[in-house]
Amino acid sequence: MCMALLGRVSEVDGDSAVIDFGGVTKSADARFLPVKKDDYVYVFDGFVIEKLTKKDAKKILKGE
Amino acid sequence: MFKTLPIKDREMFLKYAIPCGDVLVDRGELKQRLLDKMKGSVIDQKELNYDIENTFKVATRMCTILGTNMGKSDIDEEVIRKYFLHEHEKAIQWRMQIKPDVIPEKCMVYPGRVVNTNSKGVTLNTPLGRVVAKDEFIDRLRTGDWVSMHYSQIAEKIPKKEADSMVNEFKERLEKKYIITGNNKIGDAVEI
Repeated sequence: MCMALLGRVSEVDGDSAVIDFGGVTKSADARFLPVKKDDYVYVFDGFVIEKLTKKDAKKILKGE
Repeated sequence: MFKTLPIKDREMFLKYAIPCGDVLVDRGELKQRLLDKMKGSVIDQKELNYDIENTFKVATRMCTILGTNMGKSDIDEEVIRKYFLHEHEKAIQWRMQIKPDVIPEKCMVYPGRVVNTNSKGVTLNTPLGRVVAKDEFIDRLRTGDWVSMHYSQIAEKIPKKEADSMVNEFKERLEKKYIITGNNKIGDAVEI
């Protein structure tokens, strides 16, 4: 089941970005939502679907 | 700003999206008056010149990604059905991480079979048991018809094959413990 996952942008190359999901990195398509390094983003089906603030992302990642 | 695909079938999109508009109203993200106006326009089959993309952001984004992966250049009936009938739970799981007010039992889209209709609504057998749903978006339902339901609102008639597929997905999620609702009874699921 492919769900939306939260990760941090580690690299950006045009419309493509490398996302770090807690140590596992995957590339994602950012054509619909441009990102920059260190942004926290949700990725769904290989696409960046939402950006979060660092504060909100850390809360979710800590499970608060 | 997320760049969405254009919504081609706006009426169908709104029939599925409007029922969860109350959540947006409760959050202060949508005015009740605008939601009511949208609903009235769908019921009366008026023009739908609303900023749907920025009102129902999650559904539009999900449909944009699904549509792109399906090779589409707009959000058509096929994309809308794929999202709301088969992929909607993924959106619920995503939003539950961010928004604690999401009620998965209500937010999920279920198939149902019409038991009877009367002035109070339409009684349906669904995977979660028997429910009474509203039928404002649909005309001439008959006993035995298969429908899709979102937030107790019937969106449209669906073929039996589609309903069977949804029930099978529902049962599969229950078996794999993917399901996110709290009151599921597999016995009810096989009775529709």
